[in-house]
Amino acid sequence: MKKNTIIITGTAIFFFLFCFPFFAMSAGKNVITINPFLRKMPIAVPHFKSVPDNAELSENCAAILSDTLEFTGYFKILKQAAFPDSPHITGKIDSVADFGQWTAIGADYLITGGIKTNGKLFEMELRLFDTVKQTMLIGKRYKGWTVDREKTIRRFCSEVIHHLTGSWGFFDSRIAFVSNGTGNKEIYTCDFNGKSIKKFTTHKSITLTPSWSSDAKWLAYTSYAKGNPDIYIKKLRDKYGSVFSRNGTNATPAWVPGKFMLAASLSFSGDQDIYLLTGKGKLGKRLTRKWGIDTSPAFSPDGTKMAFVSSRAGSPQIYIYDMRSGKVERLTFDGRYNTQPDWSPKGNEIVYSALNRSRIDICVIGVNGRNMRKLTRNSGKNESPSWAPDGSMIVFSSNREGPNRIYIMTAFGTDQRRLLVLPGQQSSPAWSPRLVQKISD
Amino acid sequence: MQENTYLMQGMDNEFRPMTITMVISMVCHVLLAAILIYAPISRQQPDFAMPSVIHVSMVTLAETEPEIEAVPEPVIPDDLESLAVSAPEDFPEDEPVKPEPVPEPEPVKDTPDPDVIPEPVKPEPVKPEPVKPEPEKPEPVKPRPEKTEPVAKKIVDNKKVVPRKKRPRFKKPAKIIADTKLVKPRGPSREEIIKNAIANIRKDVKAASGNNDGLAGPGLAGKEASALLNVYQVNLAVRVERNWAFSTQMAGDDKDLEGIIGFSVMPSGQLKNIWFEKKSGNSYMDESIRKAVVKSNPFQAHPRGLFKPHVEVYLRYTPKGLNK
Amino acid sequence: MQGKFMRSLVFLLVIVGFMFMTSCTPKKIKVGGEEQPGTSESEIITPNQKSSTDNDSKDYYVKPDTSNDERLKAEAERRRRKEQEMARREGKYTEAKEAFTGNIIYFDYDSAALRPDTIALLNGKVDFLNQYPGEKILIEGHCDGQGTSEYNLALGDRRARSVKAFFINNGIANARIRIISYGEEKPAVDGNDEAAWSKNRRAEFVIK
Repeated sequence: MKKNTIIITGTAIFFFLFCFPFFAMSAGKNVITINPFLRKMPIAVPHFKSVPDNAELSENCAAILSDTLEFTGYFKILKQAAFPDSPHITGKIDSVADFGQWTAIGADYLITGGIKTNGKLFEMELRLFDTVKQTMLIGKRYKGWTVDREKTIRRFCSEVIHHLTGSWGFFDSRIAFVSNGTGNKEIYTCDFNGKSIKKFTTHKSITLTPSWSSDAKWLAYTSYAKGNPDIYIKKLRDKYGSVFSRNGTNATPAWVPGKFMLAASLSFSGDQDIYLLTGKGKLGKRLTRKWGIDTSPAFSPDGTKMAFVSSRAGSPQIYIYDMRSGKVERLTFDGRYNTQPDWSPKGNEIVYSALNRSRIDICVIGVNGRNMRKLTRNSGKNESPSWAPDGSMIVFSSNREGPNRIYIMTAFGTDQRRLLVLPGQQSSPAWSPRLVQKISD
Repeated sequence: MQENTYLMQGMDNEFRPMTITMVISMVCHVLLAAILIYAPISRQQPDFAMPSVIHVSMVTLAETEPEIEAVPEPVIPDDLESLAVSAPEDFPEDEPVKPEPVPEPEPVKDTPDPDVIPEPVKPEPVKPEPVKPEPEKPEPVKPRPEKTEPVAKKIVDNKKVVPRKKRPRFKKPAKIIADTKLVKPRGPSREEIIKNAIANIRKDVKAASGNNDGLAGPGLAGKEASALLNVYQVNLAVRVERNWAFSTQMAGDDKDLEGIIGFSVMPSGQLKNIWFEKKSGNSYMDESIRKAVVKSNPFQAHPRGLFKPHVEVYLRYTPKGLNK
Repeated sequence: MQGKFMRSLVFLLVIVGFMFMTSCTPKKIKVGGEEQPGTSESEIITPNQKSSTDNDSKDYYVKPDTSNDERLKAEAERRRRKEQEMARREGKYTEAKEAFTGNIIYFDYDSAALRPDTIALLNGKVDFLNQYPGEKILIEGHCDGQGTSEYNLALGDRRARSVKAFFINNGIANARIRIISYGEEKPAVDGNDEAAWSKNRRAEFVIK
């Protein structure tokens, strides 16, 4: 018996010495390359549980939540039909019995919601679950007036985005744009998703290039209301404000971040240069001095630098002006017509439009001049890009379907789609900063 | 473990043949060792920039068309099919798997597994031979698009390899897949990719075995077993890939991100272990691939004829091909 | 770019030189021409024909009184001829005005430089401004729809200004000229091809 044991041990050792390395090598060393199959985070948003039971409300709330999240481009909203058992049937929203059921339909995340309505008041409970790790990530309870239901859901969506991306999203922002639906170009504003459109100006003239102040309380724009292109600075709430008018073209106002001050392109000297203006419409310092067109200022988020367009080298290109030293550096070298810069909220990139053979495309370039990427292709003229306040999306105008309209896409050029439909043509979209600067719990 | 008891019993009753077998086995092993040590090609580096890399990337396979005319009938198909269809029955799902017990991604590199020890006798006929395909693999395995062309139509059957119809589990993701906007919309279906990959492997096997058509036998010949393993590994990889949801927006636009994750699957198809061979440096991406592996559990059971305590798969995961 | 600019500068200087040589003589004519229509201008705002019928009716009135006086008759005749001359002059003014506003100056793509083939037209406009020094004008700069609107606003400004500079260099007073840029906001022709674009890259003129 001992002998046997020895032999067996010997065999085992032999196996170890010779066989195992072989095993490890032959079996383990195939490295298979894979790419992501889905470029979004799959999330399930079943109908809410409602008290008293109201199927329409349950569905409606889930739809608002889904639409809001889907808008960002981060998520793939899974189809309700595939869901194992929704909380509005089981009645359970605070825990998940079988996460496997949700991962089996492909969900990485699950949001359950419950709403209790009591007259004009409601109470809402919302939870975000990680179905793979099988944990709850966020749990919130809200109380409010029924009219604010959508706002509340958006607020939770901001929480979700913040948890997953670290930024607060843009669900509390608006977009200003120009539309000629009335026969005149006027400025309008709408929510981030193209809803609740409001007409802002009634100049009955040509009105152009709206620009938001960094507290989102003021709009500056150019209008021919008095015959000449002048700069109007107006408070959003009461439309009170001032007008800056000089001989020549007064155009492309852009607010200096954190200040009641703007930069604009003025031509009263005979040359189009960029000057500072106070919020009250008083002329300030002259920033650019080179002979040639200087226009379209856009500030870095910290206000220390300003991108602008200049024809000083013969064709319009984007330059960066250092507010402290006054030094100017050229940013774009590709192509012969790069205009309409907008500085990303993170500060590291600039989006602009590049004209090439009567096509205009939206491009993004690092502030160091590297990593240029084209976001639109073969889709007519794409102009006036403007970043969402969290830098995750870009709004722009395009004539890809004929008339000029407002479109949005992710910062990587995916999920391009029309934002809204209005009579006439739309252009010059400008995405506001967040209206509420901080969301508290 | 049945084999073990059998072996022990055999000690008493038929000690002699046992010893002979063992001696033969040792000789084989020594030979094998010699080959491993002296054959220059098999001096593999720990690095994964290895000869035997299988690309299942859609990018490389995008242009291949599955309709091409049949090539000499591959030998393996029967086994491959059984791999998909019959295997799950052999290993009923007894252990309900919770993703939690999976240890944190500490590199558990090739730790000798106790399960492995008692195996020596059984895989004996198989062992020595797989060595040969190893050094030969480098060129043939890579599924270059051009090569893929002569894929036999017959392989259509192998579609079954991927979606296991028995369980609803897999159907649903397939549905999602159908209505999601892929960034690479022109790519062929996953089935085609698998088909191509499998066909490639088959071709390699054929190439390796030359004209020797009569490979098939009750105990699978080495090359065939190795092909079986490869096909199985590709299937696992494709399943993980299908479950890999990765938002470009989240990771930033760095297309050069790349990492290698390893995992092992037990004969029943249960996930045994996950570890990172090389992290990508982007924690969101690493987390997303880990999720994909966990979500893919349970995998399909080992194919019939593949006798291994577990199968290890290494996946190089990269967002390359996004947005372009 | 630099070379192009220099060339057009030299060109301008030559033309300015020309104007100096010729401007002494025409100036006298202008002075003469200035006095006569200066008074008539305010009267003759009404269309020519109407004024001529007025003259006719005046003749009728006068005739019975001076039927015998041939001298008076001759004087009336002379007066009538003078009126006709003035009317003719007035017609010439309208014609000149139409030419001034109707002749549009076109530009090359993404350029505010005056094209050599537009210089003759511009000289004509200078003549008009010299002939009618009371006129104040507005130059509108326009662009085609190819570029982007902000830059085009500046480019239109620049086009208007290069025409203005030509006028000033030719002795027209700065105070008589205003400019405005409409960028791509007021195309003359709709369309998305070079035929339309070339018609939209322009400077237009308005007499105030």
